[in-house]
This record gives sequence, C-alpha cells and structure tokens, in this order.
Amino acid sequence: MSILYFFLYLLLVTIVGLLYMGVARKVTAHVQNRYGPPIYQPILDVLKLFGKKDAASHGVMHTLGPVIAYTGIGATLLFLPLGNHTPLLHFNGDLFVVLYLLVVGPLGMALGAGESANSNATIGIARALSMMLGYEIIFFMATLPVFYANHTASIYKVILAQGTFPKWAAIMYPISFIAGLFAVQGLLGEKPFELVIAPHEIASGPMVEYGGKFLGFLQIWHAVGIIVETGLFVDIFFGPQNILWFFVGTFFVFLASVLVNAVMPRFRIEQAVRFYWGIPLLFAILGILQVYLWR
Amino acid sequence: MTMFYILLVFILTGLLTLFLGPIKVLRNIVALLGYLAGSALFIYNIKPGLIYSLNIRVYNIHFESGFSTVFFGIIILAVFLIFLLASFHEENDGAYYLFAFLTLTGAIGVLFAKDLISFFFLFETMSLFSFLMVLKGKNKNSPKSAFKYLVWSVFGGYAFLFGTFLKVYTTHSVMIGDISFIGGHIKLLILLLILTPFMVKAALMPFHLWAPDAYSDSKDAFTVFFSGGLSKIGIFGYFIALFKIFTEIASKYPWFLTVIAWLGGITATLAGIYAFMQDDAKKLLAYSSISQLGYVAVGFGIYTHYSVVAAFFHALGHAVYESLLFLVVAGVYYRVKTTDLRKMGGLIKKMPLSFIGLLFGIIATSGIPPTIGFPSKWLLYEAVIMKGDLLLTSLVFFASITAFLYSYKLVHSIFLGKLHKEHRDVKEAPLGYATGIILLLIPLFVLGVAPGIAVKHIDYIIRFYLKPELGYNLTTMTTPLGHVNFPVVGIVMVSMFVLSLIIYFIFGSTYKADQTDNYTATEAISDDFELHYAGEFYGFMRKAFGRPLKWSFEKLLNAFLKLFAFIGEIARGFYMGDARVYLFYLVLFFSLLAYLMGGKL
Amino acid sequence: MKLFKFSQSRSLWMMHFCTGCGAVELPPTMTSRFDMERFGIMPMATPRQSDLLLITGYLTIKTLKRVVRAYEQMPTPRYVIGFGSCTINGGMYWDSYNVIKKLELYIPVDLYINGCMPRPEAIIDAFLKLREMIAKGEANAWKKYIENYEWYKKNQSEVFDVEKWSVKK
Repeated sequence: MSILYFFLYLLLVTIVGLLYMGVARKVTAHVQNRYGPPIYQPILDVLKLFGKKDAASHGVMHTLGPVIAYTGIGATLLFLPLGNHTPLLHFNGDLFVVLYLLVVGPLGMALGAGESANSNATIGIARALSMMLGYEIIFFMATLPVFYANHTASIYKVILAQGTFPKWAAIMYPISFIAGLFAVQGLLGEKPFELVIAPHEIASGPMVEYGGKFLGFLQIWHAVGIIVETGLFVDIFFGPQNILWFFVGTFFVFLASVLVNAVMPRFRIEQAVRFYWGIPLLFAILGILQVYLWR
Repeated sequence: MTMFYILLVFILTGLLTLFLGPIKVLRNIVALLGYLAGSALFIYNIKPGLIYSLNIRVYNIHFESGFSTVFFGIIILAVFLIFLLASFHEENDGAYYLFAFLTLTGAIGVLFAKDLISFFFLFETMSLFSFLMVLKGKNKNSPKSAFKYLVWSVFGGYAFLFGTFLKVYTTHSVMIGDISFIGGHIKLLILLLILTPFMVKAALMPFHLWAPDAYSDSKDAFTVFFSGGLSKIGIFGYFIALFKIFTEIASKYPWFLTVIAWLGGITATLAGIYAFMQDDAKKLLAYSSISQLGYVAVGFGIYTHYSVVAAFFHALGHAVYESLLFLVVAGVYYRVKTTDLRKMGGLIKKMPLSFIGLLFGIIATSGIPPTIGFPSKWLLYEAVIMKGDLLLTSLVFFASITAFLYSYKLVHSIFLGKLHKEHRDVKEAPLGYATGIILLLIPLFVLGVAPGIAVKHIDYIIRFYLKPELGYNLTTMTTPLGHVNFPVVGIVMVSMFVLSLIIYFIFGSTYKADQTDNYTATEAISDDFELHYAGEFYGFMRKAFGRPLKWSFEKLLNAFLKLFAFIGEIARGFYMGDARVYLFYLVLFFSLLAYLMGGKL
Repeated sequence: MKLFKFSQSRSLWMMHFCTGCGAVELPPTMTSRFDMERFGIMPMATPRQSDLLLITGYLTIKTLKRVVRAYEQMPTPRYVIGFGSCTINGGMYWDSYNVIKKLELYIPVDLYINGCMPRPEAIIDAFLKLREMIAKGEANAWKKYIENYEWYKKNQSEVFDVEKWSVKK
C-alpha cells in the first residue's frame, strides 16, 4: 500500500515539476515577446525521449549515472515534508540527511558524465562542483539561524515551530531569507549561474553525451529537483502550509528565479563563485548575527 | 604480562624478517604469521582494565589497558594487515619490515603506556621508525620529506618531554593523571606541551607541514598505514591529553577548546582547498587526510558527549576510507607506475574492482549515506549547532563541500575519462591490493548502516568523563536536535535505485558507444586523441580565490628562517672579527661605561 | 505507442547544421517574430540530444563528412530536413567541384524546403508538415538509412574516407 502511495507521490511530483518547467518556458517566452510552447510541453519532451531508441552508452557508469541521479532525488523526496503534508519517512532523517541525499543526484550524474570521456562534460562537472562552494554554503548559512532558533534540525519540527503568517521565518529572519533567495538561484542553476549547462559554451556540459532515455531521466531528475530544492526553501521559510499552498509557494520562488533567469546574461565561473562570497555571504553572516542578538 | 608479550612478538617478528631478508617468500610468511600471532594475542587477551608493571632497576614501566586501548589497537592492527598484504607486492628488503614492525610496536605500546616516560619512549620509537620507513621511500624526494617529518616529530617530542618534566615537577607523579588541581596557569602550559606531538601526528594546522610530503613520498603500501593507522595515535593523544591529563579543561579553560575546534575547522577547510588543487593522487589524498582529521579536532574542541563520539567515530571512519583510498592508489601505481593525475584516465574498464573501491571510498569521504562517513558528520553538525557556534558549523560545512571537489577530481582523473594509449593492456590490481579493498569495503558499509556497533564501544570510552547524552541503538542515533535511522536511509536509496532501474529497463534501448564515438563538434577523432580533462581541473578556482591561495604557513616559516639566518649572520660578525674589531668593542664598552657613570670613573 | 508517436511529433529538438548561408534565416525563426518554440521545436547543443537535423544550404565535401557523423550519432527515430535549393540539386553551386549536388544520395531526407533562400514562414511550414508526417507515421527516412546502409556508404565513400568518418556501431 505504502509502495503504491509512494509511486503516485513520485509521479505527482514529477509531473508537477515538469509543469513548472513548462511554465518557465512560457514565462521566458513572454518576457521575450513570444508565445512559447504549451505548458505541458516538457511532459511531451520526456515522453519522446523515453520513446527513443539507440541512445549511446559509454559504459556501466555512464549508463547508471542518470539512474543514480533520479535515485538520489527520489530518496530525498521521501524525507522532505511538503508543507504540513508529510511523506512516510520524514521523522527518520533531518536537514543533514536531506542535504547529503541531495548531493547523491549530482554525484551520480557527475560519475556518469565523467565516463563519457568528453571534456565538455567534465568541464561542466568541474564547474558544477565549484559552484557548490558558492551557493551551497550560502544556502546552509541562510537556513542555519532558523534551525538554531527553533532548536531542532528536523525540517518538520521547523515547519511546525514557525506558526502562521506573521510568524514565518521569512519575516522573522529577513536577512537570512534574502541570502537564501540568492542561493536558490544557484541551486536551481538558472542564469546568471547557468554555467554548468552553458549550451553555447560547453555544449550543455554534463549532458553532452546523453541522449534518448538518459536525457529523459535527467529531465525528470531536474523536474523533481525543482520541487525539492524550492520546497526545502519554502518549508524552512514559509511555515506550515497545506500541500496546495506549498506548491503555490514553491511556484512563486521558482517564478522569481525564472524571471531573473530570463533577463540575465551568464557569469564566468570564478565571477559566480566570488559573487556568492560577496554580498550573499555578508547577508548570511548578518543573519547569523541577528539570531544571536534575537535570543 | 600479555601486553608485554604482544610487543615482544612484534619486535621478534621484525628481527626475524630482517634476517630472512633475501628469502622473500619465507620472509613474507613470517611477517604475516608474526602479525597474526600478535594481533590474536591482542584481540583475545586485551580487555579493558589490565594492569602490568615491569621493574627495570630504578625505573618502573607501567602498562594499563582501557577501552580506548582496545578501540585504537584494533584500528591500528587492522590497517597494518592491509599494509602488510599490499607491501608484499612491492620490492622491499628485510630492514623495511623490521622498521614496519618496530613502528607497530611503538604504536601499540603507546596505547598501553600508563606513565608518561614509557609513553614518550614508545611514542618516539614509533616516530623514529616511521621516519626510517619514509626514508626508505619510493623516490628521490623521500630523504627530504623524511627529514621534514623527523624535524617536526622531534619538535613535538621535545615539547612532550618538557611537558612531562613540568608535570613531574608540579605533581610529583609520572603517571598519566589529572593536572587540573595545580594552581596557576602552568597547567595550561603543560597541556599545550603534551598536546603538541599529537597535533603534529594528527597534522592539525599549523603543524601539518610534514604531512603532504611524507605521505606522498613514502612507499605506497606504507602510506596506507601511515595515514590510516599512525594518525590515530594523534587522536589517541588528544583523548589522553584532554580527558585523562586535564580533566576539567571545559570549566577551567573553555577558550582553549574553542581554539582547538576552530583550528580543526580551519584545517578541514584549508586542507580541503589545497587538496582539490593538487595534481598528484597521493598529495591530494594526503591533504584530504589532513582535512578529515580536522573534523576530529573540531569534535574534541566542542567537548560534548555528542561531538566526542562523532570525533572517535570519524577517526574510525578515517581509518577505513582513507586507507581504502591510499590502497587503491597504491594498486593503480603498481600497474601504471604513476600517481600523476594528468597521466591516467579511463582505467574503469581495466580495473573495475579498484574503481569500486575508490568510488565507495570517496562516497564515504564525502559523507554520503549509507556509508561510514555519514554518521560521524551528521553527529558532528548536530553537536556544533547545539554548542551554538553557527559560524564554525558553516566552516565545517564548507570543508565538507571541498570533499566533493577533490573526491570527484580523484575518481575522474584516474578511472573515468579517456583511456590513455599506453594503458590499454593494464590489468586489475593484484591479489594483495584486491583483498585489502574487499576487506575495507565490509566495515565501510556495515558501520555506515549499523554505527551502533562502534558507538557503543566509544560510549564506554568516554562515558566516564562526559555525561552520556547521545541516544543510540544499533542502527539509530538521537540528539535533542534530530533523529536519524541509518538503515532506513540505505533501504530508501536501494529501493529507489531499483525503481529507477525498472523505469530504465522498461523504456528504449541503448547501444554501446566507443570512446572515440563522442561529440567533438562532429569531428572524427582517432584513438590516441587526448580528450581527457585532468590537468588544472579546478584551475579557474585559482582566479576565484585570488591572492590568498598563495599565502602559506610554510612560506612564513621560510621567511622566519631567512630572518634568523640574517640575524645570525650579523651576530656572527660580532664574534668572528679580528683583533682590531675586538679592540673597537673594548673602547666602545669603556666609553659607554664612562658615559653611564657620569664621569665618576 | 500512440502516445510516444504523438509526443515525437509534438516535440522536435533540432540541431541546425549551419554550414551554408541559410543559417541567417534561423534567428528570426527562433525569436519573437516567428517563434518556433510554440510548436515545441527547440535548438539543441549536440546530436545526441536532437531529433531533427536541419541542413541549411550547400554542403561541401568537407562538411558532408561531419554531417554524416552527426547524423549517425543521433538516436533514432531521427529526421532530416534539407533546407534550400542547394540540398536538392546544388542550387547556384550546381557546377562547383567540391559541393555535393544531391543530399539524398548520402543521407536520407524526410523533407525539402525549396527556394533560395526560403523565408522563415517556409521553415515553419516545413516543421508543421514534418509534424503531420510523424504523426501519420510517414517520416520513416531513418529506416531507409538502416536498411540501405551499404548503398549510402558506397555513395559516401565516393567523396570521403568512410572508414574514418562513420561512427562504429
């Protein structure tokens, strides 16, 4: 029963994530004065990719890479409460379990892309990992005050501890919230931090040798990833929501990110990392100071 | 008495291997049997609470075994086995094994020692013979690196000896015992002096300078023991100094602990950054080892039950995965004769077992569940947050991100990417390495899923000194902040993996592409085309870090060296002049005297 | 199966092999005036990810090798659109010594767009036509390539070194 429940749950989140990607394309199109594709377009893309034959595989690790990527994000999903809706296992892990499971996906893809022997792919991975030195630490530092103030590391407890609207962490800890917004942009890999993919520069980076169902896997990985990453942010900063409002919250965080993406050029890698070590780091540290003063 | 016999067995085995030097097979068998005899004695007979004293004329040697003895003894003995198995494939003479066994004797002896003098004696035995092991290293840099190691060891050793004298002077006892009742600040000096050699051994910054060179220039098999085993003596020393010698440090000098924690955090971060800048596999691993030991210092510095359990568990994990990584690199070196990351690549198809070893080694190093690296990192984060030091938490988190960077660089440069033309006929690493890899993979997973096995023992070690707060059983850990069930995390990952595989197999099909069948802007490439991206892997990070990356403690020391040389040169000028100069000094002295006396002369 | 076919017709990822002068017609097709993305057609970075190979204009022998290689790296089902007169009969390069005249001899083509240059409207029209063909199951040129592999290779070997340039499967 619970297995069936989980299947449906994963399917739902995957489809919602794909719809988010569709909205992103639509919004970007409208920003650029175009009509854009229908919102369900990414679903068609994924179906098409899974229907393809003859995807090139460069070896076992290359084959397993996208599979591990989806594994990692799916496992993370099981530990992440969606608002006050809790998955089966939320009480068995906390922030650190989620943060470390989040890394499994990129690591799997990195290993897979590495085996393809394409230097574009490896450059993309090297950039992705270096970018983590930027946004990941900011994201961590931005969320830390919330956990510290509520004296827990469990995401679910942090959600419940916040209370309704004026007591949201986003309002109680506005400095950390701003730092977190900076980090989400990098976490989602949107411009100006799009340099992992950078299609015109390194031919879509890690995905360069992936086609057919591999690319399909990477698409649904990205789809679930959007929900998990924005969801983590919403959970920590927007208090207890029911699942519908949760999706509204993630949608608006994602929309903000997409709008920035639509009008931004791309950083160079060292600029991107240094950017995070500038103003966002300052905000994150000020946020930590705030929670020290507040208590 | 058994404790003494164990040491004797190791010494005798060492001597026997020296005499059997040229007869390689017999020597190896003797070494293995001697090792097995000694470790069997250890495992079956050493229980916590044994006491033994030996009278040599006026001097008493006191031995004692505690929970920590058993804990560290098993780690060191296990890593030594891995080293032995791998070393049989190398070209070694009998003296090599003599030194190795004497190093082991020293290391195990340190765990037994109850008085500071025999502790010092055995510790120096270990340092001296490990120095000789580095000296018998693999390239022409080895003597220099070994000398560097020796200098730092001697520095630590003198500090320890001085600390011991001070302790004996103030407490009238050579035993390892409490000093917190001494008045004044001299007890802090004693602690610092006694702690120094352990900070050197555990390569805590700024005492780490010997480590990258000594690790990378010693023979590959020995590096496994050097990093995985001997550094544990440093951790044991932290425990001795902070818990047995200065029991009340947390109430008397809390700032000292904070300094240690921050030093640990800085070590973890900076060593991590240096690690991903290296282009040599062993140098990279050396820095990674230093970085991981930094976490242990953080754990001791936080000084709560949670953090110290995390520190001990991390030391155990470090022994497992760092040995595994060094072992795999040793096996790769055995086959391809290089540790330069730029000259390897694509070995996954040739050495699959080594790849699996390295893969899970880096997964554990990065702390990804369900491996041994995860429980300790999880617990450490919770402990630091509970302590309330959020900036230190962030620093440690930053360090753990660098782990992803250097891990991926290592695995990609050796095993992934394009296979080099000259490595087409490389085979899997031989039996000794393969056995070690498999042996190390077992605890890597078992302790990752069921950390309770080790945590129970660690709890016994420290519950006498710290209030037991951590809730744990075989497979879970609970702190006031959170709760984690390790097998559940593992099971979720495995079942999710199976689900993904099912999705994978339902749809579409694949074909096996050659490495030359690659997207190269549709250019046709031949088989010897260099596609591998390895050198300057994170070269752009140089720009991101900018100038501070060039700062180093070693350069500062070299500047000091130059300053001292300069001062010495001037001082020499005073004494090495001829008669006229001395006459001038005499005149100067008397005129000064006359001036000072105000003409009363 | 029907769902897959439908999604294949509605989602075409294109690799435009811009060797000839026709490349200049693509930016307006992609951007706000004509906006091909509303039909689910997107430019992609590598042949591995693409379904549709758009050959814009004349092909010299030097570029033909690379086109063949890109085509072979694409996962099936894959479609080719020949763009402009040059791909049909050589166009204004009909007597050039190093330009191929008939693309069809070397790789199978699903659709041609006639003209020199075809306007973006014509390109969009071709995309819609291809979409229809895929939905009806008529765009099967890629099967031809597999069935008549030797014939294509023979034609290709007359102009370049097939051993070196074709992908080994």
